[in-house]
Amino acid sequence: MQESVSLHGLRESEGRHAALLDQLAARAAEGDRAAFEEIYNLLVDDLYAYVRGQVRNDTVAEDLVANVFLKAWRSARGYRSDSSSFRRWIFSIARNEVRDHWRTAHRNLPLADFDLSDDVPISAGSDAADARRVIQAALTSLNEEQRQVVLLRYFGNKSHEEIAEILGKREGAVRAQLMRALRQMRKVMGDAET
Amino acid sequence: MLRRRPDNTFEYRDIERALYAHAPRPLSADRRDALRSRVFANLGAQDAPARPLFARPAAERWVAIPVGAGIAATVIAATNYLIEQDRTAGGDSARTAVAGGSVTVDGVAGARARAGQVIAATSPSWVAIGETVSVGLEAGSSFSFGYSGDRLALLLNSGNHHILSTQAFLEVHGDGWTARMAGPGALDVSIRQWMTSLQAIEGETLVYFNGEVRTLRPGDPPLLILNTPADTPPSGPGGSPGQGGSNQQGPSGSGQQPSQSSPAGDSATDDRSPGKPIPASGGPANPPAGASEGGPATSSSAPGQATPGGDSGYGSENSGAGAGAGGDSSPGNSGESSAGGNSGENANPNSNAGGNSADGTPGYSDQSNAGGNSAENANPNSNAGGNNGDGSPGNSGESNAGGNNGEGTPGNSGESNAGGNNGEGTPGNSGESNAGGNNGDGGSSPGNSGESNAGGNSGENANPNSNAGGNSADGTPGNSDQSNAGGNSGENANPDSNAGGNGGNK
Repeated sequence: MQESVSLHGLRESEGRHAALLDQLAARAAEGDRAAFEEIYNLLVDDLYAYVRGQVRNDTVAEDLVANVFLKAWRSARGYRSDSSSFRRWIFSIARNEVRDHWRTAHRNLPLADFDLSDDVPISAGSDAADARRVIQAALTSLNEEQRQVVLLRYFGNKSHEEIAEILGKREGAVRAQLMRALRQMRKVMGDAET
Repeated sequence: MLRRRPDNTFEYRDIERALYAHAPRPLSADRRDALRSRVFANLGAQDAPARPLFARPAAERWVAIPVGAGIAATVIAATNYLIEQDRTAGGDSARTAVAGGSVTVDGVAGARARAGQVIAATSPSWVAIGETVSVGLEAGSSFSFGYSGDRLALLLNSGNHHILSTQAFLEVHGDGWTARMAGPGALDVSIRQWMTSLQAIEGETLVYFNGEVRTLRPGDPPLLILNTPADTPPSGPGGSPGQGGSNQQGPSGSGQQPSQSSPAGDSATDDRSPGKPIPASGGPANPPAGASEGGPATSSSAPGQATPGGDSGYGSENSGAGAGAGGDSSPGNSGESSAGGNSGENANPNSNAGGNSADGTPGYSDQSNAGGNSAENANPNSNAGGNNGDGSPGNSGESNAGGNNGEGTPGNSGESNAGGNNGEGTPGNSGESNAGGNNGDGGSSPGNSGESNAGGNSGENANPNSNAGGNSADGTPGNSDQSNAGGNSGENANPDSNAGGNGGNK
């Protein structure tokens, strides 16, 4: 019951958030920098977490996030401010930015370059490098859609509903995608540890 | 830490924990401020908004027709040309129709028609009537025209018509309805076997039907009016399928026989209200009981007015009005968007929202909406599987709810949402994510949820495989071997789940 109440509250909150973003986007489309700064404050952490999980280091991530905001500003008039999908819109800019980055670098995907945090060992008795290697291998084994979902969920701390909104999918499909990703990761991690 | 299990696998929650632990560090406050400064120092000019796909030229007010945007402009241009040609040739176009494209007039190929003659298009065509009215016709469409005094009136027979008028008043007649275009305007009329759709594109149109009057304005959803069936089929038995589909999770209680989580119950009830035109709302599916677009009406009653909860008769935003189920004819098919028809015995093979069948095979939906309903037979392929009174309902390959079943085996949902619900038998399975099926009170096992969410609910028996196990009033609850909570049981324990079940008595 408590969970359903909190879920309900979360959804209400997300709905308000989407409406607020739409209002700010409408103002930004008229050249209102203050509104755009509010958008920046609301989304920069999410976008950074999303981008950072897919590139080699902090500097590249910051470059890409800056580009995302600059492109969002430049194209602000192209966003339909009544569509409640600003977050999806700006994340799609980020997704393309990451793709362009790797395309420019003549790399298909940042598969082996997940620069994971080394704060916590993942396996008793194994060193952190091995643990990261296992996680990296598992992430590498995912297809792009699965990886997007995993990154948003675990690196971006997004709810299923938020991920669905960002990726333009159904929440059920996101859950299924995530579960397939975890299953794949479990398989790879099992193989790697064997 | 990652904990390897005896079967040499890891638990999902440990993988999740590892991912959380290895998430990249967030942006620090100073880096965030630095980034902000960098972004705002480089904000340049904004791009101009993208030009709308279809602009409206000053002289042609018809171009902005959303469906077949070029049609109206083509009609205007073509009919103007035709009128000019006719005038040059000495014709009197005042009370004569001049057609371009490929049309027949009273069944004979021709280009000029008089009042009362039936003009039928064999390919996309256009017809100018006088100098103020133009009609674009899609292939297979037909109409005639006439005069009441000086007033022109169109009588539409079949197909899709794009009517453009620059005169002060134009009357358009159809099967059981009359539309009056109050001034210059554009009206789209689509006549299908069981239903007529009217949509004002420009200007206001008053529509009279069944003693009602409706004003259509640009931007309004289409007004859908059920046609009078040419041959009324005999009354069909009417199915009595089970409960409606569910995207909800199953279990939540403990020690109780769970209720079915079916927000929309189907029923091919005999309680079919008289047919009424129903404007397509564009909203989410609230399908009518035993009713959907294109379906034949029963002999015993007029086509059904939609009532919330039930089979997906016309749930989609493109859907049409309801028609009663239970006859013997084949239901209507919908190629792309709308709901399928209802049939007493036959299938609706192609519609998105499949047809409903009292006795036969229901329709299939390969793309989007709800499958058909069947009293006895299965709907194997629809996304939201069919509902079934006695037999096997449909399966849902990817997304939505499996079928519902009164007595037999319900549908399965391959990937995501809820499995089927079952009154007495085995409920459906949900392959990947959401809730398994629910089982009312039979002796069968509840549904299984392959990977993630709640299993089914069972009156007496166990749900052996779901992650969040089922709930059982009397038997063994489900087991969850991966992630979530086990089942709840009135009497028995759930020995294996991660978060174990709740035992009422043990």
